[in-house]
Amino acid sequence: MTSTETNVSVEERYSVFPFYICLDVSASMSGPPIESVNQQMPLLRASVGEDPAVAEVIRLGIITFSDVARSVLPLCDLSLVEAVPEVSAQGRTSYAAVFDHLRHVIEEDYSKSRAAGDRWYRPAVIFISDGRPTDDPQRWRSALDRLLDPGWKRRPNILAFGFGEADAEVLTTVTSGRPNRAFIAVEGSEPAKVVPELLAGLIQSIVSSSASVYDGAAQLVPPDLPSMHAIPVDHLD
Amino acid sequence: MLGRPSPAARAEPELAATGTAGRAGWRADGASSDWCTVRAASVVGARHRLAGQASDDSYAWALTDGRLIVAVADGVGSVAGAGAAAARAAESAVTAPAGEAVELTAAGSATGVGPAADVLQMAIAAANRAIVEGATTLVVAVVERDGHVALARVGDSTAFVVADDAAVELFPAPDPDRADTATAALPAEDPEPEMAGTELVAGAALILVTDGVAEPWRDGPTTVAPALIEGLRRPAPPIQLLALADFERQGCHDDRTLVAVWPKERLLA
Repeated sequence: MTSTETNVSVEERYSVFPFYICLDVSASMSGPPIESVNQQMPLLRASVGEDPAVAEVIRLGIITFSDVARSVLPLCDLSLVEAVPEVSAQGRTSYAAVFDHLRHVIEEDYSKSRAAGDRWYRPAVIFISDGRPTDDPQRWRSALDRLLDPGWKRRPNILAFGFGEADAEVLTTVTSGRPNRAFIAVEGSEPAKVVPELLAGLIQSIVSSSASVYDGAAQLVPPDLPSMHAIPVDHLD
Repeated sequence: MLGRPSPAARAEPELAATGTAGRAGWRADGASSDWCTVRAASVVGARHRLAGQASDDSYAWALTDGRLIVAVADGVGSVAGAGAAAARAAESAVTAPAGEAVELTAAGSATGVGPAADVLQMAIAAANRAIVEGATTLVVAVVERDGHVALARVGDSTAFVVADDAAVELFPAPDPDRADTATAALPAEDPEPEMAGTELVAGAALILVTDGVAEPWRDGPTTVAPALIEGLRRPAPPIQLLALADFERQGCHDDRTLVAVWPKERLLA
């Protein structure tokens, strides 16, 4: 054998760890918070996409949500991305929209990725919101139930981060009722200061999670916060 | 190119402010004496290449009085001066004993190392003294015209014999349960090299490698291993061997060096 370009053997299937960053871009994020997001995102590309050890493991997607949810950066190998798109703030805060969108894109991404020869670790969702959901509680809770359905093999692990008007109880619900997977900034914290710290923590989280894959015990390593602990992550097949 | 392409590992590196031939990321060599053929290939790992750094691996050989002494070294990257340490260790390991009148015979001992043990001890000691700064692993082999091989190593650089479509590692593979154990390295106050020995049968090749080659070789039984074995069954052109060593594999970004030796008589037998 001298070339395997057209033959991805079982042994060469890359084990990839998908991360979906779900970012609240409702109108309340306007101004310094969203500007801060746009300043920090290029660092994410540099930290993840330019280190082959990280880029070969991590697949990253960025989803924004307000009245609707959009994949502003579809799940990808960041080393192939020239620039992370800028985001803008508008509208209300529909949790149902983002949970429904996540369920759909995770399933779709998994199918594409598997067809390309990748093996998936259980995906991670990093949920960031500065407010309470503005849609009907029944509706967003049903959408969350579908996303976290124990019968759905691709259900993600969710870490939730809140600031501004975000509600601790709601965020805990988003993380399947596990308070140690939700973090809320101290009341009164300035979003323009919280966002950069949060995104810096997320970059470290992603880098550390990729390292755990090479160590043979994959984990979703959260940002360095006292309440959060690493979550063991399984292969989906 | 062997392996599934990794876009991150293949990214174009920034052009360094200065460059010299000695810092070349891809190095290949090869030649024959009247009784042996040697090929060497050394590839800078993706991590070093993308950071604009040179490889920390090195190799050397010395041909004298019917024997070939070969060394491969892997500078310990966490210590400053790793590349220089590897280069000094490899060169000293082959030149110091080559200049000594050491009697070697083909007679083996219980360890398979035999009288060449003195040469190997001399090589390790010379390498240990030569390191001014930094630290390195080292594997040294004494190859005799009749195919007798004696080896010593400090650290995780290792050796394989390729023969009959199979490869056998001459030192124990790392224990996966002791993955956090620090790798032994030179300089050391009192180096305790591991010893090994073998006889190269007809058609066999001796391959000294750094862990950048050894780990994917062990972990890739249906990809890297068969490709390397196929590529090392006969002395290929050096540039071909270099391309083979430049394979892609998830998580394999370390510097890679291999030196292969074929005793000619055995090759033709």
